[in-house]
Amino acid sequence: MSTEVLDELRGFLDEAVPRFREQFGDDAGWDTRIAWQRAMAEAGWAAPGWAAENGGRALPAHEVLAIEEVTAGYGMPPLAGMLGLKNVGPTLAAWGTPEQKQHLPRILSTEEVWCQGFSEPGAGSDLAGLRTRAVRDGEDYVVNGQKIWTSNGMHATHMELLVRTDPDAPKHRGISALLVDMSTPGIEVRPIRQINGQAEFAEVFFTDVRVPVENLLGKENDGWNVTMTTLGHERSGVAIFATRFEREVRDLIAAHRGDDLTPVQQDTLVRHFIEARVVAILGEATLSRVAAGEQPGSEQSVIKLVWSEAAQRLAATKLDLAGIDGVAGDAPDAADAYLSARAMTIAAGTSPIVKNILSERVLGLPRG
Amino acid sequence: MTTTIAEREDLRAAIRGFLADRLPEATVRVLIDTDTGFDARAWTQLSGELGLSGLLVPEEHGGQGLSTVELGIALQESGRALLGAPFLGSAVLATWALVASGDDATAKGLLPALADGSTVAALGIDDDPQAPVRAVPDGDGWRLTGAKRHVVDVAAADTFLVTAEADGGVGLFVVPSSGDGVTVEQTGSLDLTRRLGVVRLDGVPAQRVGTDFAAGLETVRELGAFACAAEQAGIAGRCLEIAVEYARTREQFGKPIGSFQAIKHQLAEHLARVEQMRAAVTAAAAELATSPGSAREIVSVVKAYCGDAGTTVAEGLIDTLGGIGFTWEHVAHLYLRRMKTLAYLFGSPAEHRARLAAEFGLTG
Repeated sequence: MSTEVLDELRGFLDEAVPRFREQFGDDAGWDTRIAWQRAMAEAGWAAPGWAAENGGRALPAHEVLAIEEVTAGYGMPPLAGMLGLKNVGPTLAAWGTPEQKQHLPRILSTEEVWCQGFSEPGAGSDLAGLRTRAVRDGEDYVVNGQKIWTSNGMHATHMELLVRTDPDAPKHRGISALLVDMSTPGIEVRPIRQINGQAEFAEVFFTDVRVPVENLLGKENDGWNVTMTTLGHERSGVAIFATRFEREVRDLIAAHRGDDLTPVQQDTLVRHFIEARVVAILGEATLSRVAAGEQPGSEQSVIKLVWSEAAQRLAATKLDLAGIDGVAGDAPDAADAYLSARAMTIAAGTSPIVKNILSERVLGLPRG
Repeated sequence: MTTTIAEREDLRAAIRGFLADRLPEATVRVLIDTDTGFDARAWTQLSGELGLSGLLVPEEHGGQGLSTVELGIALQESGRALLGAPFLGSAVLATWALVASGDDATAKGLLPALADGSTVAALGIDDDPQAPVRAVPDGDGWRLTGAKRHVVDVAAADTFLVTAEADGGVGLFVVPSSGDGVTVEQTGSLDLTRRLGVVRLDGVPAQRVGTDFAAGLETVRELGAFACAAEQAGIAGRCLEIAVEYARTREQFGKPIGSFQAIKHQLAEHLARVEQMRAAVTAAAAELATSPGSAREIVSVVKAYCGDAGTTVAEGLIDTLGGIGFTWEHVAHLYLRRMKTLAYLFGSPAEHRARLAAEFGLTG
């Protein structure tokens, strides 16, 4: 890629990061993340992969990843509206009407924060079994039902909502995608308290919520294809997780250099390194395939499976290295990270579901 | 010489096609019971038609002058086909030792014959601790005494290259296998498709190659570790194919066993291992080809990873097959034997992890 782009980025970050730190310190709370996204968006770095007319730089995927890598090196908190920037925005760009695409600049500027209303209490791994119902009534859909595990649900102003519009059709063919303003009457959002005590997810209840028909994204009952676009963008993020994971392990090893580790601890750290290096190689291979204009194949599912499980083991090792301090309250970060890591093999496709996908779609084994 | 991606795929297809045709499993099984374990005529064809013996030999010495990138492909195919010919021992290890020796005169004499396959060499670098090989000057030449163990493709070789302490450093020496005082003894390797053995030398006249071979030996060890991992990636890929084919067709409880998640999920995990092995081998091949001086880390990563993951995949094949996989007649054990043996050649996974731990400064 052109080094000028990365030079410009570094020039911006070298100047903006210290100024930002002065104001916000090490805080990584929601308001700080919003402020950081604004700063990045104003300089044109919040969504460099988006088309120019939507406020992006139209850069190809591998260049976007290089930009994220450089940015990550500055240790800033994640941008607030990641779901809008990464998943919903590209879906709107692919399926939206000209009017619907007017959300895009507002997603960039943080004026709108988007969440995804996908999972339901009865539709987790079997997402297509969702039952939240939308019934046409005049120029509106009337929505009733419940969503769960909605990331950023407490902060969101808008939602990409999956609803059942044809209960009689086969389950994948009766789903539609709606764009919903979260301030619409009849929507109630409640935080879900997680095992680590935090609340990054919400459950969202819909009672006779009226959504204008022009907020239908894509065609009615073609929502599964819209969903696949969103999930495809969600999955493409794993390659960069894999390369970041290697750096996390290298940093951990560097932090323990010269420590009085037992031979077992030494070997455990090296085993983590080997796992991380190999999955990062697969990530790099995927990125270069994308860079060459090829469609990534099964690698993304392999990376998701392997990275999530390796990252869980690493979190357990970090807690182990903290020893009793980790659980006795003297090193709470290790304990918190250990608990948080349990989500890795659940979110964005549980490990058993990823294994089903690999065995059926890649190996061609029959469905059970 | 460098190749395009398309040319590499052609190379893979050509080797795979040749080996499937000339050295199918039935032939591999026949060769297991022969004295040398390889088919000299097939080796001549592999050398002549496919140029495998000269893959690493520089073009000015009659070879193809290719790199670890193409070598990795050839090795994956040789592993997949359980190739018994002396590809690893002669075309990879002995050839690279000669190239790395920097001795142009000897290389000029020996490399063309290695390139066309008319000479088969094996490399001895592991000393028998009871009888390490010593080199004593003798007139213009040297005499060697001692024993080398774990010599790969020992039965096929007409020439041995062995290391020995000389002038306070490491020397590389050429010894004809037919010389007086040379005794070759095959040891019963776990791997039935590749002959390992001991070469005993009793005052054998030898010619020295190059000067100090310490750095050369290092590069040969790195290449050897990479080569083992590449073969393992090929073996693992084939094991997965056999397991998947069986799971699709074998029926129990009225349906293919591959429809049961207990089987599916194991095979998905093996797929993840195979993809990672291939990607790691490809990355190591590129690093060795472009910056061999900084390849130590990736070589240890790939050798340790493929040793463990590959073994798990080969064991998994037997698990998927059930009883039939535990029979002598099924090919599964030949793959497991070769996989497991490769895991210990040129450093076991544990040894490579220890090497990484030391390089990371974790060992205190």
